[in-house]
Amino acid sequence: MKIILIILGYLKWHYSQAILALWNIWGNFLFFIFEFFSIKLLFQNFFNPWKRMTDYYPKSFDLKKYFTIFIVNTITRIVGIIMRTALIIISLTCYFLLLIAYPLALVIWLLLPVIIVSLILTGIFLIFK
Amino acid sequence: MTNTESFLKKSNIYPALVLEGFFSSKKRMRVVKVIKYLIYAVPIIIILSVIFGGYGSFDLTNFLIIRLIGFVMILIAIYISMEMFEAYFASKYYFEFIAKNKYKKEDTYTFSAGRILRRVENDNLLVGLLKSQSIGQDIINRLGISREEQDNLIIKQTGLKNLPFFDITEIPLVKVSDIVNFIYNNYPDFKDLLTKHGLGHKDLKATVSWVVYSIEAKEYDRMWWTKDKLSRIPGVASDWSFGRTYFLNKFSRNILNDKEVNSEAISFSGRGRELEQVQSIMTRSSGANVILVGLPGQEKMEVIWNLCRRIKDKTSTPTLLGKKPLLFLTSSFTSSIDNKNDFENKLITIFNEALGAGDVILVIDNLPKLIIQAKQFELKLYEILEPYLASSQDQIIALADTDYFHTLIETDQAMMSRFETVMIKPLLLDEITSIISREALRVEKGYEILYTYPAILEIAKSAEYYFPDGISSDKAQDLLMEISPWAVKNGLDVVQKEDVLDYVGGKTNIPIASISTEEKDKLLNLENLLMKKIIAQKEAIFAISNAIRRNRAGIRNEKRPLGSFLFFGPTGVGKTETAKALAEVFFGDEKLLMRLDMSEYQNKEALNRLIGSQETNTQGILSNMLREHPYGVILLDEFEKTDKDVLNLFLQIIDEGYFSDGYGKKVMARNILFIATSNAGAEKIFEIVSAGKNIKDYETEIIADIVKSGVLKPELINRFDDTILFQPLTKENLAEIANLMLQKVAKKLGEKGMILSINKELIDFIVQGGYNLSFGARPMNRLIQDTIEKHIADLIIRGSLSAGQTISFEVISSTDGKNSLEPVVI
Repeated sequence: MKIILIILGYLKWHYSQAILALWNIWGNFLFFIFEFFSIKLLFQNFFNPWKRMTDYYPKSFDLKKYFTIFIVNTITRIVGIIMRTALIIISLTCYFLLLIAYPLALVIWLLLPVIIVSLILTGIFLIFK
Repeated sequence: MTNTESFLKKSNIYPALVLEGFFSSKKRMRVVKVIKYLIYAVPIIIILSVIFGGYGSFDLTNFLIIRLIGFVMILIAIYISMEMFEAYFASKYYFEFIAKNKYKKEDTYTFSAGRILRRVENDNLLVGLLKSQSIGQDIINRLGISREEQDNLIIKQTGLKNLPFFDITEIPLVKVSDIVNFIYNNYPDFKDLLTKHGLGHKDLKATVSWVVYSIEAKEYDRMWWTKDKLSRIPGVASDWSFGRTYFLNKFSRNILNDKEVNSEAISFSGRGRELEQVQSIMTRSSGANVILVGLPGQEKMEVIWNLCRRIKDKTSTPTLLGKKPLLFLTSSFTSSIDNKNDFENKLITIFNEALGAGDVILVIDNLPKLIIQAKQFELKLYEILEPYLASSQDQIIALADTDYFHTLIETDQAMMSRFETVMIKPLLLDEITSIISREALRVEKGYEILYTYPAILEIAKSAEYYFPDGISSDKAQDLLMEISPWAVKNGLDVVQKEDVLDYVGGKTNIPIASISTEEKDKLLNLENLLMKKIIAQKEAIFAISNAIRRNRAGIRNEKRPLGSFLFFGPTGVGKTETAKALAEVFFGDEKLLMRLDMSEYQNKEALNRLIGSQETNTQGILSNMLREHPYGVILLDEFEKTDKDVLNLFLQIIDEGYFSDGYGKKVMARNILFIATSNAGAEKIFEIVSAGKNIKDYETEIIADIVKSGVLKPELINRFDDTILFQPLTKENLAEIANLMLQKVAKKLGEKGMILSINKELIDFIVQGGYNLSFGARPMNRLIQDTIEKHIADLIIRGSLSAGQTISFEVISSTDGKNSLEPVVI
């Protein structure tokens, strides 16, 4: 009697609360990826120089110096853009993988009781074959 | 069906409880462990079968592999089931203290409460509490209740019927605290047992919270997938858009990496009030600079660590999110400085970098130190920092110790105008207890001991009471760390309140542990012991003895000194002698009598000499005395002769039991017996005694006279526990004193093997020759030195007196009335 009560109680949790919890955990991971790669910052500062490495333009007019600084600042910007693009690609890939991971995880979760039973039955069959 | 059973079945949690009943967490852990070992064993078996299985016609390898695969499949199935059960149980926890879970009304009770209810027999909730292994037992053990007492309590419960059951309509979700509160209010046996242990409802509640927290913390620790835990993993690109701080990094560290920020296990005070203040100042668009003021020690950093935890958890105010707090280590900076220019240039570079980076919150760990070094180079720190302090981009938090803040920063108007001050308030006893109890959970694991709640409470109290210097929570944590290895060394499994008292008593030399038999005898016979050493003055002896007993029984006012007495009376009647005798008899050592001749503290510098001075960098005589000997007698001779400021200092000490020394540090005098003596009123006393009256009848009049003369203020006299008038000595008293003095000489001679014969004639000679109305018994001592001791010394040097011989004295009368002594050696 007690065994039935336990199994029913467990299954009720498995197919209701646990699915909700899985959904929440998935949300946590999405949030984590977003924060881990600082995706918002990457887009916001997409054109900014790499680690703010810039030189200040001279106050007096000096074309040569002006040009050199322009080149340096442009390079740091380009480096920034390249690095950010690379990271955005990686982060979006992770995001995408995570997006499809949920339905997959959900299917596995839903089938888990069946999987366990079939593992045990197959195991017994193989042992006594 | 009992009330408890029907109540239990109402909840969704019930199946989980039943499962827990016959397949407990411990058993599940054991199964998982075994499965892991078995899985490791499979490849070993396969390898062995390949090596040894190829003989004969039967293929062992083939036979085994298929079966082993089947076996592993079963193991995996069991392993997954176990993990699913764990997740199932974890979902049933209701986190009250850590991450407030959403309230689920249909649960009707928490999982922990359910564990107690499952063990209830015949609706007896107390039995449920006592028999529930994991939680109820833990609560009972932490309360310091012994196994034997628990068994007795269970025996008392057998056969009880129609016990009250709580009204569930009043409690929407039954928690452990609700059950325990109900038991406390409805089961007198339980309440009586707690009372016997000196525990009240408040202590019980605190213990329950502690135990529930410990269970929740363990569960929560395993949940690595929660949002706040994932948030703490440092990101990869958060600093790509901000500048680098190459130079600043040499003198700073990123506080976000401190273990205090990253580990939940390290507990310190929340300091919620101060944290909120800092956050709200930091959100300002300009002038977001804070100066955090507190005692030397960890408390200032605790606020910063908490701020960093919020930044990491993404729960801080939005303006602080993504910020990088760098702790500027002033000491390593100042030690790298060679000259004035160096100081200025390096500091400017550092602040430029901090400003340029765009994400730095600069935390200066010791602003006063920076100000002092600037002063040494004749620079004003404010002038260098002004542009940065005024900037809308820079966020600076400066830390300062309270005393330096008052002397160096508060007086600087310009500096103060750029900073908002946040003063750290001292923690309350409850807050300290809560921190220590959480810390204890961590310490217990390492030392395999268990702290009871009364022990934790005593640590928090003792830290405050017996170690006045520094921050209470730091001191309490230190004490906890010291007691743990001590407990292991002494073979203690459970640390009780008495053990803490034992340790603190040993460390401070203050007897606070339970009273030993020897001490008990001493306490009960204190009057007799003192009377052997002091002649007459019964009133003084009784008053002091009572004060000592009150203290040891623990019923005195703990916020005042152990006792304070003001002795009035003529010179040489035994005032000082009483204090000496007390130190020797009760405190066990005459060295514990500390003496201050107050006539030496008459001028304006007297106060500074006593409490020390930061300006002249001198230590105080009184403050040092009390730090070295926090327990003993302090004799304040000729108290009335001291300066007015010093009298005011003692007014505070006697009233509050502590004072602040010249450096602003607290000095405790709560385990000191103060005896102040004064000759004031001596003439009046003589007058009354000469008229043949009893001075006891004129006590009020004598004290009124002293007050009128302006020697001591009435409020000061009233502060003392008791004012005692010393009687002038009668001839009989003097004879007894003379006898005591001669006994002392005899004792000294006895150590050399010589005997001094004392008779009435000799005593009378000392009394008649030595008594003086104004100086009391004191001149008798001199007479003994000038006559008896002089003769003995001459005889010993001449070789006429040696070990084994007896010396006596004959009194030779003279016609002019001046008698003399003649030694006789046998």
